[in-house]
Amino acid sequence: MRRSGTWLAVLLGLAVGLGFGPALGLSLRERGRALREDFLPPVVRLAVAMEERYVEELDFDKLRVGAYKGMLSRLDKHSSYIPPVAYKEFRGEIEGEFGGLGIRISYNAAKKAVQIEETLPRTPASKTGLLPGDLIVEIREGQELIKTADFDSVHDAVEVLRGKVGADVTITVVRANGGDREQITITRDVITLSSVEIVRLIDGEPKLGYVKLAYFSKNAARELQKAVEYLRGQGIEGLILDLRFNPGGLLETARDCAGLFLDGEIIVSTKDRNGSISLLYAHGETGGEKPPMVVLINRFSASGAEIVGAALHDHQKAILVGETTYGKASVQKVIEYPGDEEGAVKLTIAHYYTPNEVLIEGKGIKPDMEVKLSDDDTRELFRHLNSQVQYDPIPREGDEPEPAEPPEPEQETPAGGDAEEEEVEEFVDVQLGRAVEVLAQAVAEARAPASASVAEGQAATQG
Amino acid sequence: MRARRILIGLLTGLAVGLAISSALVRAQADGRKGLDEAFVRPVAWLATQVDLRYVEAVDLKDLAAGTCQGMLAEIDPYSAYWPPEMLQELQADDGRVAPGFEVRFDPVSKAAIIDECIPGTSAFAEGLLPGDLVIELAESRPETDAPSEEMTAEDGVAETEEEPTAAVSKVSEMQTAYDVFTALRGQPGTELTVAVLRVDESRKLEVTIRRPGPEAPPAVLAAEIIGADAGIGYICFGHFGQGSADQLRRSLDELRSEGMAGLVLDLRYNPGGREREARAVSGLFLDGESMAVIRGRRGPETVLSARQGGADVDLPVVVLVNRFTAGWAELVAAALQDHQRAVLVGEGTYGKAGIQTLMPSPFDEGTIRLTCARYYSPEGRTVDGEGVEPDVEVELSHEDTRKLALHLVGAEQAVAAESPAGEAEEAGAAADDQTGEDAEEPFRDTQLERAVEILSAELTQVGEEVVPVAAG
Repeated sequence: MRRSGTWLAVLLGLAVGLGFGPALGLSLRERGRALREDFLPPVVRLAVAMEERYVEELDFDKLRVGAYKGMLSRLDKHSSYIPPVAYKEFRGEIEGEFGGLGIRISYNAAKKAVQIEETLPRTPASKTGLLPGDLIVEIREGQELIKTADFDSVHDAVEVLRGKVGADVTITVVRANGGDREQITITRDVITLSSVEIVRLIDGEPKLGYVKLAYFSKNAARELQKAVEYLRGQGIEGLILDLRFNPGGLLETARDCAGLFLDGEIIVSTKDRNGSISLLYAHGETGGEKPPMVVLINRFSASGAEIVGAALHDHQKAILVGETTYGKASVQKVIEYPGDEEGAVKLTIAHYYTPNEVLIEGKGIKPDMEVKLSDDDTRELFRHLNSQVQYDPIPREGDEPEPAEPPEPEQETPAGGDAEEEEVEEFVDVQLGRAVEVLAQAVAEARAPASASVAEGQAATQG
Repeated sequence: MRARRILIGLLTGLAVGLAISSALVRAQADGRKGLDEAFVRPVAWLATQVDLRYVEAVDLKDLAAGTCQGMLAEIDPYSAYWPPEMLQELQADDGRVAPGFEVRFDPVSKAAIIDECIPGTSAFAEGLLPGDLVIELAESRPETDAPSEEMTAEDGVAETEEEPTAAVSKVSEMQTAYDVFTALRGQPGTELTVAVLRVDESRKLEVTIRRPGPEAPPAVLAAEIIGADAGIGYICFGHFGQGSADQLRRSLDELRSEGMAGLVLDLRYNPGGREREARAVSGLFLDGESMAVIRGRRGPETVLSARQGGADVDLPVVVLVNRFTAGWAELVAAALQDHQRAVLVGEGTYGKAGIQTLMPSPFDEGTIRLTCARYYSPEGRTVDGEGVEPDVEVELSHEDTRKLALHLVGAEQAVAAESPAGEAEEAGAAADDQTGEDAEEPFRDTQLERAVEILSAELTQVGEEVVPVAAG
């Protein structure tokens, strides 16, 4: 009887397998069919026609890159091909570390030269006496001499200036105040980008703290934590977290940053193609009181910045001041064709949803208090904030605390004379002003119930 | 015995035959293997990734169309995909014309770059030049005001709230070359507002142009004797459109009757035009000699000749060229150079000398335009992609090149006064110590000056050989 039982089981299993098998195979085959019939034939047909009739022998690599780009151009704008040059840069940025000289640059298209915006302290460049406004016209590394006139954008310059740690780079510089060309040789070193750019106290009653977080790189959460701890140590009652112009970064870092102010709560959820939902929670305990917060956002706050802002807002931990954000909150996965180390492809595989389950992509998050700036003022703000960036903004043990007064914005006017840099008036950060107002009020309200109950308590004991 | 030998023979033959044919098949497969490994597999891989993992479901036919467009765009800036409507529009006889400039559209980056701008048109007079990036287009209707100056890529659409002003089309939202094509074309004389990004100036500009009439604009922009003593004639020749060769011939005749002894033929900014006109123009200086060579991927080459009869083979000629001299203009210049019929002065030319063929699209009723051959100079020099180098190089800065364009069509005063560019340029000029140029000073055409120098020298030599120099 056992034997027939086994056979029965086998038959049953077989029947089930036969029943489900085709269904499974069918859906996969369906997918494959679409690819085989709808996609491949026209593409291959065109490739063959081009191979036969193009005026010269086809470069298959170029053809492949073109195919990638064309395919991705039909998807959202964040799905794209990353060419080898940009891929190296891309990886460096996410890590926050790369081999470089220690200068912040822009490309001066009119003069066809690389313009120095800032020299970072404690870097190879800081010992050279390079100043904002100086122009780099030639770069030599080893045998290769490159003229900046050949660059199309600042990315070309970054690609050339960054590179192997320990290598010597000779730059030909034209000083901002004119004069002969100088040649300066600098040895590349590891440059670590600081994500926390500004940390300071805003003097007045109540005492408030201000942190500008530029990017969610690998170490940003730790930096932010140190900054907040320092400010708390200085006795702040409220905190302004400035996420304007923050384009995002690593999701884990964004989670950890939000997690500094939330206790084990949901930060964001993602939903992918198959409908799978993934929830991201703040990590455990942060302990202690959380001061009232304002998060500053603008139209260039994107991705991680939007997620953090939305999380703090939805959990009623912060008031959002500024403008509606960019509306880019989707998960891109970087995929490489097996064996191809050259370029890579960024593909959007999921969308983010706020704790209140609102889709961010394409819409952005709205501020509680809107303070809108014009295009020109936004550009001015960007320059203003850049001019205030501190390197090593978090004071170390034994350092003098930063002055409570906001530093004078320095107007660096290179003597070479850009027609644009004529303004003498000081820039007024109206969004920050509003944030300070709003936060001061929130702090006052947070105190009020406590003082009312204290008064009652006193009355009670006295009475 | 015999039977066995026959059998052995047959078998041997069979074996050899099989070996050869299988080797051939493998060879063919190896050729295919290149495409398969380098292209088909990776592309199929990405399509699979997209199909399985992209955040939304995608239509694979649409994906294929995008892929094909990308392939063409990457290989060649002049190869493209045209949707079915494109051919229809080209063949339609509704009177619509191009706005005076042509645009090259990259469907991947959604960039529409001006590729040709014809001197003598309103577009050229407004300062548009090849290389400018077209960002927005709007039809101007006569009743409503021109779109506000605040029109930016972000605000553009929002501004249409108050009144029914012209709808602004953002190029970044267009899908194919056809979309750009239809947006550009319109009835002769109608106005089009174009927002462009001038990449050499990192500046956005908005101009309103008038579409030209159905006839090509005059090709001869200037014809005069300059340097009266030496009898140097100057002709500014703007394009090789219909009737241009006749106009040139008439101007030559006029100047000769005024005592022209040598000619400066100005082909700067000339974007080319028709082969037939090019042959006629070449025929004014080269008597039936070779003008260009056509070479494709395979097969014999074709030689095109200048028209025969009526050439003035003795007239010394200096040709002015610059980075915007393109197509037939640069090819004619190269031919004159190859035959040592003229001296070229100025800058390296544009480098546009390809020939495109049309074939049916593999995924719909559209058309594929593919570069299948190129024009070369009579001596076989490559012009496409490289341009023609002048004999005497005189370079102009980007700024001066723009000023020169307007100067040639007499438009510089008008444009400088209106546009914010004028103010910025003045401020920039004031701060710029290098040339010491005041915005007030008239523009100096250093390329023309050099051409005149060279021609004068040549004429003096000729004069000395033939006629003794007069005393005193």
